[in-house]
Amino acid sequence: MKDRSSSKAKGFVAIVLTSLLIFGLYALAAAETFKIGIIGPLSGPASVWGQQIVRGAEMASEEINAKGGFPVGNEKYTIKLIPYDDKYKGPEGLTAANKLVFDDKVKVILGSISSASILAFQVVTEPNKVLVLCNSFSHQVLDTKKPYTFRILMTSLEKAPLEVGWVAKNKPNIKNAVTWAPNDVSGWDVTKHYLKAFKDNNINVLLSEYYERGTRDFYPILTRIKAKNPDLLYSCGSPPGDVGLMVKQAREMGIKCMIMGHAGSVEDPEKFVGIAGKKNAEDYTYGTDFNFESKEPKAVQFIEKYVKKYSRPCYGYVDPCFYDATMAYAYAAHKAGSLDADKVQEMLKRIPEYEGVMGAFKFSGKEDYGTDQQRLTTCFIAQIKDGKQVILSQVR
Amino acid sequence: MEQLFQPLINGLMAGFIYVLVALGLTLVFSIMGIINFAHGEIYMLGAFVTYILTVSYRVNFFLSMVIAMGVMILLGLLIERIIFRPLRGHQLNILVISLGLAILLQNLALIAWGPDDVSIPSPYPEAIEVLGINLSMERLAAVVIAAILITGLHLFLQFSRSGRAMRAVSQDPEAASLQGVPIERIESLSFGLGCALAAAAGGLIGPIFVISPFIGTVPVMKAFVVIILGGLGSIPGAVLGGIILGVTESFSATFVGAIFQDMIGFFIILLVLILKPSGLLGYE
Repeated sequence: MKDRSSSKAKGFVAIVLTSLLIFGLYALAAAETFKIGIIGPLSGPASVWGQQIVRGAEMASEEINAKGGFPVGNEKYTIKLIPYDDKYKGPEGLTAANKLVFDDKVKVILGSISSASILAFQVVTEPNKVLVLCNSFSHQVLDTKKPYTFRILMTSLEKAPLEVGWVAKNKPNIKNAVTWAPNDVSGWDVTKHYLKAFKDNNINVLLSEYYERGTRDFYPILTRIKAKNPDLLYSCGSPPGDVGLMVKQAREMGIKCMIMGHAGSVEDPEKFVGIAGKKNAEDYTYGTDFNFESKEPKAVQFIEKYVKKYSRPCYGYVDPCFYDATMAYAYAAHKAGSLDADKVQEMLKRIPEYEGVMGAFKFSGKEDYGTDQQRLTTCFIAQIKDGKQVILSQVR
Repeated sequence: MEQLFQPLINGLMAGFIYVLVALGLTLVFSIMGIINFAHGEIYMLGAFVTYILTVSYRVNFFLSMVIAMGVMILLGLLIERIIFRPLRGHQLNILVISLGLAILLQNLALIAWGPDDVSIPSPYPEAIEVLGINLSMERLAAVVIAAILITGLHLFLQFSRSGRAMRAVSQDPEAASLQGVPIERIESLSFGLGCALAAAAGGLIGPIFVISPFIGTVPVMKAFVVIILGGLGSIPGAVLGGIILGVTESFSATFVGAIFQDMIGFFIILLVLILKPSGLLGYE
């Protein structure tokens, strides 16, 4: 009896130990979870851009996770995205960063696109060595004292000379212009860059108009602008809906001059034409960072996957931009062999060989910001022709 | 001359849209004594219903607007019956709940239709130029339709049985009740009518501006300014207030600058209220 009981006990222990060993081995073999925070306007008028940040990051993380995660040293990490809504505002951005850094313990944050939000939350991310891959137009976002913040899209500082340079070269009859922009930090900063570009290209700016965000009736502004009789009307930093309305109302007011806008003034050409009207939108010219008709294999593959996943065309540049940022971060961490912020941020600056959907992941900017943390991307000039986007030329 | 007439025309056109939104708000306040912060979202939903019917189902624009008004009347009756009626007499609670309702409706619209701006294709011919003044046919039509609706409301209130009952309730609900006026039915009717007017304004702006879940906030703020300027509960006051606000904003933006538009408008309102706190045509 005793022998049988003893055998049973030994058998039981053996089973338990084997189960523990299998479980332990399984735990070791399974990939660790790596959290990536997202901060962006997920509600409100700017949510069209915030949703693009999420989509771009989602596509990249799903692609990485489908391969079992990204390797760093002997570990493999699957990505978990944690998005928070900053409503395009500073206080909400700061709240989101506090949650991501102290509660969720993330090491990298994608976003925001709001300068006010980023400037607010950098007081949390920089001292805590959390990498931020953002896109906002304020000059102050990048600084030698902010080594962990990278801007992954060109701003008006880089694009204004390209766009206005194109005008000066291709439209020599344009001698003067009027600019218009939202009346806030973003609008002022962007306008400043375009005013400099116009000056450098000997185009006289007759008037710079600003309006409060939320304005829908541009007739009063356009009455002032019409009185100046400009050769060119230039949108500096307004969202696509505002620009579509302005174009429509300008033509209704009898303003016949060339109308042009910054990259980002048209996110979806079909919707833009829907707002402005096909006839009014004809010949509207604008900068764009992404050519969605590109034949480059990576771009084609990205667009196909995007359309299949989201059942919508891929017109915006923010989606591929944050797709590239997520993929590039994973690549940089893998090459660095570490998730340490100092090592990854150093590696990010040294991976120009990494080709994203929007070209090489190359950083520059020492001359303008004192540090090479500004990504240089492609830039095109496009135009609405017969209700559709046509790429006129690549300016970078 | 064109420099003066263009801003005047611009201002009148904007003013009539403000009036239409404000009328619904002031009607509800004068009869029910409540301030409905969700009024802007009713305007937004009216615009979306018009958009969906016109663009997705290819219904005639004007018929779509009428249907949108009907749909918003039903929604208004539901809101009044389920949310506001149980809280009658508790004005602060109603104020707070209407704020919550506004947030809820906006976010439901965001989930349903997304954040992107859309526009209703214009059912009107192109803009015309008369004596150097540019007139958008969409805005002209909006002014004409708004004028018809305002006149219709006035005639309804003056000459119909229900209209007289509504005026009686607005003057003295207890006395009206003693005379046999069904207070609850009249309050429901006024709320529904207020929603219909907001929906009409929303439908009218569809081809003029853009539609998105966020378009309700600014018009309702302007509507509050209009009804305070004109006098709380005064319908002629709302008409006068809307026109004054529209024209003031237009001239400020044209001759001073767009960024001063709201500032100058509010300054003028401040002056009026200091001199006449009950508003231009409000009751003392």
